[in-house]
Amino acid sequence: MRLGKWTRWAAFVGAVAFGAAAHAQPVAYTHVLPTSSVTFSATQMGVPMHGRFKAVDAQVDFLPSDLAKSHVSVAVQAASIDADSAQTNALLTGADWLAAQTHPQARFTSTQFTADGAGRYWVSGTLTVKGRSQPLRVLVTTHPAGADLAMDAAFTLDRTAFGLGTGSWADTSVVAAAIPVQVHLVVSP
Amino acid sequence: MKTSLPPPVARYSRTAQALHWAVALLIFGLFPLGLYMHDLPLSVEKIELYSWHKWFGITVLLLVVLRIGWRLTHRPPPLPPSIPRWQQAAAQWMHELLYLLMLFIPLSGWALSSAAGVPVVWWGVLPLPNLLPASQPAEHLLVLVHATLNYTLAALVGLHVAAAIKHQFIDRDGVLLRMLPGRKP
Repeated sequence: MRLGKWTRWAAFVGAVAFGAAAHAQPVAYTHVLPTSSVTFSATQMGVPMHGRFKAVDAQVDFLPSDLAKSHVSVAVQAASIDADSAQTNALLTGADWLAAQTHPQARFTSTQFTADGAGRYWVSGTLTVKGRSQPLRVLVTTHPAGADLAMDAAFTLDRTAFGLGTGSWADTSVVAAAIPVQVHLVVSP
Repeated sequence: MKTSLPPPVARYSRTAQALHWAVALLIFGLFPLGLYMHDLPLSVEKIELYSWHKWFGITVLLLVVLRIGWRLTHRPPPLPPSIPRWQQAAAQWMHELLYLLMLFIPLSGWALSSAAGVPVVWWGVLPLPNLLPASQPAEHLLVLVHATLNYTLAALVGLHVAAAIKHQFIDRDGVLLRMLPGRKP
């Protein structure tokens, strides 16, 4: 059967309208995928040493169309730190550094999202490490990855503000005060 | 009364002497430092000592490259003819072996640091390229290589010093003076 000209037009317009409607449907990213990671580097006598947290636990409600309702909370298990050697991990989970026994989690909780151009957001919130809380504002960039969304943030943690590295480790000429941290979340609707 | 002057000695150049004694001093510091730091528990002290060991070790490498360049372009003073031919040949071999070890010990240390996943940043300022990717089997092998080369160097330096003392106090032939500052011949 040959469709008439107007039928085909109607079908075309209908398809476009449906597609636009589907596209305009507000997307809420609420599932955090296990490919998410929290990594860092500490500078020892000028040498950058890399590490990560194996256990990252994040809750995300990210609505690009409704930032007021968006919220993110990222926690890492202090005991899951992996800095390449068992000896280093034992040191870092100990009392001089993360004190994983008394402070098992480090956490960032957002209070506000602000748009800053396409796919860029300033996220304000509170960073709590070793029981100490500090305000933190990070630039989050987002990149679509198929149906998922990658959210990346990098910030520099001042270890002296959280009591990370006490005793002889307080010497910032051996381990620098600035610890760059990279947060990479992969979220899906 | 006439004092008897020692026979004039043909000495190594100032540059050769300065390089020899600077490297000797560094080796005498780095060898025990390496032995000591190896078994320390992870601490500020350990991180500092490892860094200094690497920084001074790379300095040795640089000085030894200069030394080899200098040696290849400057003829060393001749040995006294009183020394038997076989001893002259042995001295030649000994010096070549010492040069090889002084070159390959810092290189093996640098490679060891790379294999351990810790790049060398000279004096905490100049990042050096990794000689190989981080790998545990390579690290274990290089620990063994670095240690073996060092014990070999320690044995050869022992012989080198013993020979210098023998020439100075038994043979009294002025060989040691060639490496000491003094009047130009």
